Amino acid sequence: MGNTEDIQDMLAFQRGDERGFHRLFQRYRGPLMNYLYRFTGNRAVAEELMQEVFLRLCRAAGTYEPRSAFRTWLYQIATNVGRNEVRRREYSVKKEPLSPLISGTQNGLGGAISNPPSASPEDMARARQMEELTQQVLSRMPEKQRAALLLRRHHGFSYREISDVMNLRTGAVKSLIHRATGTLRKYLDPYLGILPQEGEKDAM
Amino acid sequence: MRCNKVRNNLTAFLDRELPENLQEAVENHLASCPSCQQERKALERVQQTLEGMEVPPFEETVSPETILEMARTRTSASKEQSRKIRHPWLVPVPRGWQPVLALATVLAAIGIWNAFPLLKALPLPTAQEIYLAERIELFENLELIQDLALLEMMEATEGEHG
Repeated sequence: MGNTEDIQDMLAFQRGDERGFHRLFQRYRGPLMNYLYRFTGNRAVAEELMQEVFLRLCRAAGTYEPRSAFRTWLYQIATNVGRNEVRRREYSVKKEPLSPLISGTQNGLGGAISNPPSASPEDMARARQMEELTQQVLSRMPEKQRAALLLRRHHGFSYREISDVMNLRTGAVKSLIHRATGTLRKYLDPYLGILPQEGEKDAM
Repeated sequence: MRCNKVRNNLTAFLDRELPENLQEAVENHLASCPSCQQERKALERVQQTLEGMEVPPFEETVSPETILEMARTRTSASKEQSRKIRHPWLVPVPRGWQPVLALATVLAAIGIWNAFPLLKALPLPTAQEIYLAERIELFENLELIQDLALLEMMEATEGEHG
């Protein structure tokens, strides 16, 4: 099981075997970069923060005791590092309106699309636009909602595990994810409604 | 089960995180409520969009060895910091005072060495005399001499040539 491996590598590192650290680094560098990038919206910042997470791991190696799952502990560090950074930099992105992405729409923040684009090879470009918009919405979301949502959707944590990562009750986690999904839905719905394949799915 | 309660639980329902009886109750409600079904589809679309987000490639910009090295450096730096906190009397000397302090230190050291006559009898190779001569010139320029062994040799030289 992945957790057993993680803990073994961490304990090996604790005993002085640096290869334990190397293995953990190779395993988690990518996922942590993804998490921190989606959390901060900025690659360079994510890079710094990822290094900070591993530095903290090194510092904690001496006193590490496998109490919770390793991944939970690691993402707890990453979430704290991410949230501290976001608060420090005061990402006050709420002031800027979200940019309307799909041409032909007046206001992407609600209401019907008056000129739906025709199904065409532009699908790829639209997917990229959707991703851009999604990231913008994520960046504007309160950080607790953002963290809980990303941990679930991108990193497969259960509500229980998220409650450990974020030191919250599971009821609070459920509420955070629900509100985060609602926020995303509010901004994405007008666009999602016009994706060609959705018409077919409604035939269920 | 009422629609607004179902909607509050829909996200958790889709995540299969509700307690079993609640999970079932929502399922049953959805089977016969078209408007909640619509709501469910809308949330599913959002989830798919989120889950479908591309994972960008993140090239490795730093090696694990570098991180380990940073951790070691930071440890010694922070030890330096804590040393400064524990010994606040080790204050940095302002620039103008350094030569004066240097002189005082050297004179004090020479004074101490004068109390050990045995050390004056040590033999002194020529090369070291040259070395000392250069150092004495430096001393005249009031540079701080840190090497006490050097001072010892200076004292020995003075004793021989004085």
